[in-house]
Amino acid sequence: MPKINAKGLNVFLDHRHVIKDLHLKIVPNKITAIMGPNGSGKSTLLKALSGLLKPTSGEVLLDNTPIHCFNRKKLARKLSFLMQHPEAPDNITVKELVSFGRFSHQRWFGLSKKDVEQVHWAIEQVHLEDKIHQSLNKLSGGQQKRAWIAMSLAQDSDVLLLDEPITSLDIRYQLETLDILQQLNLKYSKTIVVVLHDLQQVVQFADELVILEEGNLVCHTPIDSALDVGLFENVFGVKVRMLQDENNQQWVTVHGLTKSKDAALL
Amino acid sequence: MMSDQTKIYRLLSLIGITMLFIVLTLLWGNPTFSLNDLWQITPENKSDYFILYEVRIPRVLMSLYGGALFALSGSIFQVMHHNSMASPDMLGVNATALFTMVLFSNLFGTDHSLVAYALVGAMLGFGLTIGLARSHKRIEAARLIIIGISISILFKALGQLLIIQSKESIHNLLHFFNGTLYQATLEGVKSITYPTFVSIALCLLSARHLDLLSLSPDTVKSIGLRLSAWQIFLIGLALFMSAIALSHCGSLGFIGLIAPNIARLIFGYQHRYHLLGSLLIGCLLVLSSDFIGHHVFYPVEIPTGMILIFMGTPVFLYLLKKISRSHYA
Repeated sequence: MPKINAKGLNVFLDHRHVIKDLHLKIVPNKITAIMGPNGSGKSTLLKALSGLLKPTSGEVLLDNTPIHCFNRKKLARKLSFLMQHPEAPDNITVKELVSFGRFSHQRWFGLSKKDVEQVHWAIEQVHLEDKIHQSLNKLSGGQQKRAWIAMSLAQDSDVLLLDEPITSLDIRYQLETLDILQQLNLKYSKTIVVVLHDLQQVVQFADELVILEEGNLVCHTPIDSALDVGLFENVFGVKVRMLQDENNQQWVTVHGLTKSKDAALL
Repeated sequence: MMSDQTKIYRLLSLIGITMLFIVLTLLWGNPTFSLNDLWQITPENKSDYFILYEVRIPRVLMSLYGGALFALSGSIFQVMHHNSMASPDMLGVNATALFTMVLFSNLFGTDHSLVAYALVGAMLGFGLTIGLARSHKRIEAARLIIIGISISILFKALGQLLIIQSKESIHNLLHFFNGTLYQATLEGVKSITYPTFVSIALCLLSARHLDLLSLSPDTVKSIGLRLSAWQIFLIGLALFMSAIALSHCGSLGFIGLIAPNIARLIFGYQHRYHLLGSLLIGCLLVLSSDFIGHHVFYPVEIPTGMILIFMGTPVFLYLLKKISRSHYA
């Protein structure tokens, strides 16, 4: 079981204190959603957790070893990170893109048989089998995102970190993508840490919720415990109502702004 | 989607055309040889032997080396900077290297290796351009090129000024600012053969890593590549390749810019084809412009560098329009 443990993280970017003395233990084999208003440090936290960004102070431990002690290849086999707006060359095909994910397992040239199997497995997981030889830039936004997720999957790591994977997708693709992540978690016990924006989606798909506000960890709680509505109202400045239907499914609705955030804006 | 077979056919046809130009350059001129003559020219026939072995063969080899080195150097710069205009001449590398060649030749004499002189300047020019172009830890594509060109203009002027003040033995470096093949000698070609082949081999072996480097830096790292180590190695290699070429044929302008872009159109992004394509197109561009300069306006000879500038300027303008709109592709 992969353990990610952030201890006393502080991150300064351009003299701005982006992450403030943050302690966080990611629960293994669960889906953790990170939420927070714009500029609250979600992406920065995710980058620090993935070892891409060295914190100004504090450290991130992966299986009790500081994450910056791993070499890149070894780290890539344990943990994958998908950024918000990844860039790829024009005309690259889905298969070629996903093959990049095998880099940390590969020798100097070419893919082994196992690499090829893993690439096909990853493409199956995101339901792109019929697009395998198509150019990435000919696919829809949702399909492109799924191709990138497949690249992360091909890395065959136990931990997947994803920065806003569904922002700017159509609602159908949003749900499809979240569903894929959930399946990966259920079938292969992948530990997933994902930045999301929609309260309802978080309640529906995540097991754990982390809320950030101005670089501070406001809460880290399992979803199924009674969610603190007041907290949402404070952090996001919106009025929230929680409902429960006959199947015990929770529904969250947002209806209007709270006065306090209004006052802050004025 | 282009199949691998198509790409291999295209590579083979490029090799064919290059061979054709090599043979044409060796045969055609004053005197024009026939294919049969080539094997029958012996040291006894002094003037023909001299023209073939001391003039035409070195010239062809230097064209091939120069074209290949500048083209591959440009290919590396373009993928490292995600910028289809990045190339040794656009980044201030060429002009600065020529300047240091003139400067150090004055200070320490010409008996030392010009490659070393050029390498110092190449690193200096690249460092200056990157240093000035970086703002907020980012390098904006158009800004990089504008600064690179400014650095080039400055050092070209300084270099030419310095030549006027120099000893006469250094005056022939003046031609290097526009690139020249007239000064190719068999000894010169021999002296750079090993470094040329080794650096080309290293570049071709890095094809897979160059593929990965066309992704965003964070993605590259999270896939498991040691980004900074590879950046240093590949940029170093690109600067070294430019320096070798600069020290023997000067700045064959635009090769590093045009060849990789044509190669990307013909072969797509995969570097195991792109690099070979870029190399061949570089060779072909130098050979053909030398050929045109020699024969088309006969008896007037136009320097190779000039022809390259005529060919390169439209491509340059087209690319400039493209990068100010979109990202690297």
